[in-house]
Amino acid sequence: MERLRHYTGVLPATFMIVVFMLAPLTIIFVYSFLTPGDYGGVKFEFSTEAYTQLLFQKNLFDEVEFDTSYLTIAFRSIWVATVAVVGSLALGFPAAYYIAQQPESRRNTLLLLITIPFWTNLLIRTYCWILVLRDTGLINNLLIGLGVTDEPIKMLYTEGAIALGLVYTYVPFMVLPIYAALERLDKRLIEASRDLYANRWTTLRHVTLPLASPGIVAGSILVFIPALGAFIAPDLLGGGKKLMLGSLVQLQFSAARDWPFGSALTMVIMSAVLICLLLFAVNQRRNEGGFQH
Amino acid sequence: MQDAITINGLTKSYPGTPPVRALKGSDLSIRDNEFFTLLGPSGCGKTTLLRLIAGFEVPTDGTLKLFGENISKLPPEKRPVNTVFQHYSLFPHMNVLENVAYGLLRQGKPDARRTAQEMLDLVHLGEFAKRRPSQLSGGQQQRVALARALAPHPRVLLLDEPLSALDLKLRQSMRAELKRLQRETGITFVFVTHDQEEALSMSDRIAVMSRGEIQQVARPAEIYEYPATRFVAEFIGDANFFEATPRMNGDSAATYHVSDSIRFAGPALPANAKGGKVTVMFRLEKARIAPGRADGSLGGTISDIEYLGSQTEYRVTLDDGMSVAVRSENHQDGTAIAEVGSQATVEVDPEAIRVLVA
Repeated sequence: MERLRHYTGVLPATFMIVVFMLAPLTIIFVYSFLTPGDYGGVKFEFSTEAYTQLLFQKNLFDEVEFDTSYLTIAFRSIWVATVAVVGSLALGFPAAYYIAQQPESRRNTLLLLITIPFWTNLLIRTYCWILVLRDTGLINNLLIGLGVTDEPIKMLYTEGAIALGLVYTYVPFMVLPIYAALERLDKRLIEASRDLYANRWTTLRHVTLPLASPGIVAGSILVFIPALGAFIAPDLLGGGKKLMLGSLVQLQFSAARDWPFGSALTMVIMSAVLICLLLFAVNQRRNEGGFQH
Repeated sequence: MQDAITINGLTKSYPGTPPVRALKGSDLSIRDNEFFTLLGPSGCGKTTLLRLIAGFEVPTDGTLKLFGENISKLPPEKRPVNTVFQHYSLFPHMNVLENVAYGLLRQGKPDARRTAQEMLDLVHLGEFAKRRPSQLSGGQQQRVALARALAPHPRVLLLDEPLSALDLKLRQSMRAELKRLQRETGITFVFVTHDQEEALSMSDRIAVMSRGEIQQVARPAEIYEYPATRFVAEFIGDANFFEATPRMNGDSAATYHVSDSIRFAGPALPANAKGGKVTVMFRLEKARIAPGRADGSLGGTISDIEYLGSQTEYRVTLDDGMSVAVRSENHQDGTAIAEVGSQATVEVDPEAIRVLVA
């Protein structure tokens, strides 16, 4: 009886995981080992072509050659996602710190303001950045109007624009976990640090930051993963000229009609992210850990 | 010799309607190398005063001097004063040695690690240097907090009810430990507590506080034997209080009339008495109780007997309905002198009578 109740208790969670996670993942996993159909979709013939395609290319003479074009895309994506993480940390930490310092009644209002951008469609918000960044856009018009520059500065369709769009999109994911960590932080530890001859800055460095690090790490993961797979900002703000992983995957399921390759890419990205997270979790446990002397 | 801490008209108000006045224009001098205790119930302003000295609060008014230098406006990190916090507030992400070395490192002192290790040895925790605070017992964390606050060798050490979270036995042994550390380091200790026993047993001097005001500053024995106000007399120890009309008997003695049948012979009326009624008091253990009645003495019926181990407390209802309590030492086997409901006589020497005008 007790056991039955235990199982019925975990049923909703199990249902969620199976239907929304395991089932789609299984489909993608299976697709990645099939042959692309002529007009999209898949043919049910086993093939590892999708995976070898990642690193090797057949040349005109049907010889297999090492090919780095997809690796280049992967590294570019990792680079841009890393810039996005650093950018949103630089913006998000001060914001979270400021909110956590406010009296309790004002904190909820400020947190609500942080989430307001989510209420508008991402596509529309990203289009607005085009209006701001393009050669005849808001910033360039302002700069030319003020006489800072004669020629418009090229901002749109650069990697910087992509990173900016990613920071803009994902900075709330950085603010919220850091805020949660800072709000939980025992204020008396700050007093103890000040009492022991540390000023505001050294206290921030030696007490606040280390104790907020779980929030910083959580925020960085929450920004890095979607930034790695994002395709709206790279397509619109990057002009689709420099391909990112997210756009590459999206391309396979649309114009390129190579579903197995898209699936294989997805599996590889996901495995890489999972392995990184796992290594991080193990390292974290060892640091906090147990009874080392 | 210069005083360690001098405060003049120090006031702290918190905004509100009406504003909360946590400390009302207090004056106080704490001597160098003294074990000084701020004693009072919660909300009396003792912690506010401590936080003002530490620099966590900014005074609304008044001045605060440390060895003659006005430090009212200095931030906490600029004051050569360290605090032992009530809940220790050890840094959870550092090990014990790093915690103790923290203040020294921030001051940029050379040999921070070695000095910290020496401090740990001083509080008998040398072998726990590499542990995390969470792996220590409450008593051990307490001693780490002490070592951390003492390591930078502050000119004044502030202790905010540091023993309140410990169990009774540990608390008693820590009292002796604190006293020893104060003697060995020669640092001025300012100790905040609501526990009168702690205050009486450890302090060189005590300031008793109530509602943001300092009631009395004196040595422990003087606080207990000669309380300045009724609050002090009630807060520390137990006593009987009577409203009485004084009648002078010459210059050095007086009789205090409580009612037609109750009067106490006592010392002369204090010079600052305004006339009219005063409060007379005597401590429970200063009176004697004997079975039976004698003419002209204070007497009545025993209404309650409480056995307290080393003492027995008797409550006697006097003839006119007032009641008085007496404690007597259990020198023999602790058998009560009489039963509840029997007659008894209470005797109080004139020397035990105290007259309170406030």
